[in-house]
Amino acid sequence: MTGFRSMGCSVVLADGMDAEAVRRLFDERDRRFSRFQPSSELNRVNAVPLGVTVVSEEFASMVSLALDAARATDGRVTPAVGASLVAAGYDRDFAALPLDGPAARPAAVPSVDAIALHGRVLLRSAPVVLDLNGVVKGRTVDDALALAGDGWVSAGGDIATSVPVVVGLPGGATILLEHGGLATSSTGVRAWSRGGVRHHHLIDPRTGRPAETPWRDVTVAAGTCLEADVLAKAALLLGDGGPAWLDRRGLPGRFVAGDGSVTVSAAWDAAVPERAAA
Amino acid sequence: MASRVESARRSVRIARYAIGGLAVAAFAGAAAAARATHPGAHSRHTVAHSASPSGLQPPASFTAAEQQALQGFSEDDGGGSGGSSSGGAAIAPAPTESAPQVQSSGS
Repeated sequence: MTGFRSMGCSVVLADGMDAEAVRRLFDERDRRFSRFQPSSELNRVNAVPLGVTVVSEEFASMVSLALDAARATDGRVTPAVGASLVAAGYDRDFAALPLDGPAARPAAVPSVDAIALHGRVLLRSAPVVLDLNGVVKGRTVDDALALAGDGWVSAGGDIATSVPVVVGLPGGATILLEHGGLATSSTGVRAWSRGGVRHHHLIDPRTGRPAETPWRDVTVAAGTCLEADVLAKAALLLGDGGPAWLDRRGLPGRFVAGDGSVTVSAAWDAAVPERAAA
Repeated sequence: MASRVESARRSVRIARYAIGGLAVAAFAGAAAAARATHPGAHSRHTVAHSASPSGLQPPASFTAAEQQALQGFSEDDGGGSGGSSSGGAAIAPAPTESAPQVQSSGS
């Protein structure tokens, strides 16, 4: 297993894979899509958050993915949360973020309908500060796996694999991911306080605030890491309705509540009975 | 002197926003007209992709399989999924006593 840090998290991959190619891919994406690199294309685009902007093909592609994810999740996983994240206090690389500070005032999340994309032309009909983190990391993990050959790639615990890999889950359980993607969204990481109130990075678009949810960790398995990541975020943001939402779609998910209790969707239970995931 | 400079800067900003506003309106009008007359008007996607200049695999819109999985998300129905029961992944109990090779600890 080899690894490096990029996109503010640890990237690890199986032995024998082309680690240098993967590192270049992650670094390139980070340079383009980071909120915390002043020269990133994302920051150039967000400098004027309204009107018409011509973006690179790669940027347009990622915006397109983000819009797909937003539509597919009824706007729950949306790229329009940039201003809300900053308002909540997440305004710099997490490693440099003060863990406490003055009270935060929420910023409303604009409708995703304010964003349109036509080729490389991005149109924002209302001020929208973009944050593409909802798709960039998952997509980059998938692309890294395609680039680096058989094996597995993980970034911050979001995984894509073409070979069986034993994965540790929140709370200490383990499963075998034979192929596909698996991702965990968590309110327990990237958390800080403002005005004595705990905040985390998963914004509820309805309130513009960090989501209030009973779940600390939501893990979803899907065909790709991108899908798994989007699904996990959406299921976490749905709160109590998350497991039923996955059940209606036959999707495997595992929910860990704040008290450590575990709930699984029917598809997860069918594949990995919780008593066996230990 | 400073106030004249500031005044000039303000004028430039106003002009930029005015131009931007006009461009938005013109663009939106043209886009609406194009959508209305385009034979693929019901398509949800508008972006086509080409190879990345870096030579690395470029990101692209969801594949057909991804679309199949994702399009079910917004259906607030009480019935079945219409998708695969595993969402395209294959998970199974880990072999007994096996240590994790990687941790999915959340992000």
